[in-house]
Amino acid sequence: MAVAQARMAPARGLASGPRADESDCIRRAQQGDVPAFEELVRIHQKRVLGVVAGILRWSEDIEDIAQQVFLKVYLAIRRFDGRSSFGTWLYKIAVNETYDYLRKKKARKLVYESDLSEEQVEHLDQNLPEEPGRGALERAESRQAVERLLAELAPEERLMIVLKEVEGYSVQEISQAMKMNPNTVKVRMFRARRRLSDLYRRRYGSSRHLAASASGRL
Amino acid sequence: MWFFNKTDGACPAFEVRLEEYLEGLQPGSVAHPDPVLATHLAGCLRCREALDQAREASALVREFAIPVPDSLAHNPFFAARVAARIRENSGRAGEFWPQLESVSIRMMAYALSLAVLLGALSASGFARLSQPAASLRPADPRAISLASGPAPVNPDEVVIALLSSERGRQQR
Repeated sequence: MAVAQARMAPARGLASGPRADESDCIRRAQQGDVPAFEELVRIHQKRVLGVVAGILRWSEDIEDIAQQVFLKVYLAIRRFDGRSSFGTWLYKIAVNETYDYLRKKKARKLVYESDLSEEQVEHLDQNLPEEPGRGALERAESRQAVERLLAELAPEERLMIVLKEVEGYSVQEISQAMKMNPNTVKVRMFRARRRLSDLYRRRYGSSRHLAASASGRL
Repeated sequence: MWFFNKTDGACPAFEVRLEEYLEGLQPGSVAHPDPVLATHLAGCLRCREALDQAREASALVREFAIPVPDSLAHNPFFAARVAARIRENSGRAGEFWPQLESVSIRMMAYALSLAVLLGALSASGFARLSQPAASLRPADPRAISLASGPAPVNPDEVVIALLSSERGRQQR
């Protein structure tokens, strides 16, 4: 429970008003002040990485693409007119840039291509709070299974689910980042969840194995 | 709940409500759907099944999907790397314009030289074009005997006249 709650801790929303220092950093960055832009990067780095990882999952290029996103943002920041929040504008660029990368790579099932190695799983496990009574191996296997299932979804479905369930975005925020009507996001998200469940059942027969442990947390 | 997986999904008219209901659910909470949805769920097996599936998927992802690791999300060097990339990019842009300027100046110089050369060539070409008319005239009108007949009307006649004249023979 603690794990799930810790994971569900909502991240700072896109819609929340810009911090005073953020507005100042934006203004200075628009005049070419690189250190001010560096501050903006620090503010938004986690969420941009979340968006990129939401689409690519565990490709080695996540950091590179996230850097590329910020570079594009810097080059375009003079055109940012403040009509939407900086976060919304930034995350839209992140979504577009990552989709562009996917189109170039023509690789949809990235996790299959670069499946997590045991070392990577171990490393990722070390970053998550340990749950007493559960074997590390079992958790690692479950994570691998869920990551594989996510990789089978369309990038758009995967992004919605990961942003909502893992990164803590609201439907409103997702709709802004993905330039969609909130109701469209709700319908697609609901269908994506069902598709994920279908995939799981087809592969593993029933969702008892993982769902039994997870449903106790819902 | 996985005994009914032959259904085709939720009723389209209720998908938004079902998602909103799921969104309202917090881990461990027992939220109640709004009355309209509750009434519909009571009589619709497909929607009940779809809701169960969506809840399961949601729980699976929350529990097992891997978030961005802290080592990456809070990497203190990330911003510095972005800044380095920006500077590198600006450096390239800074080098590009002076290079373009020098290239354009060089190109202009080449174009000017070429224009002068073409001008000179065309001028000499005109001069050469105007020369044949002059060369058709006999170099020495006295060389052509008056007795030889009427004045030549074309260059061949001039040549023949020259060859047949005394001076022409000597020159040969």
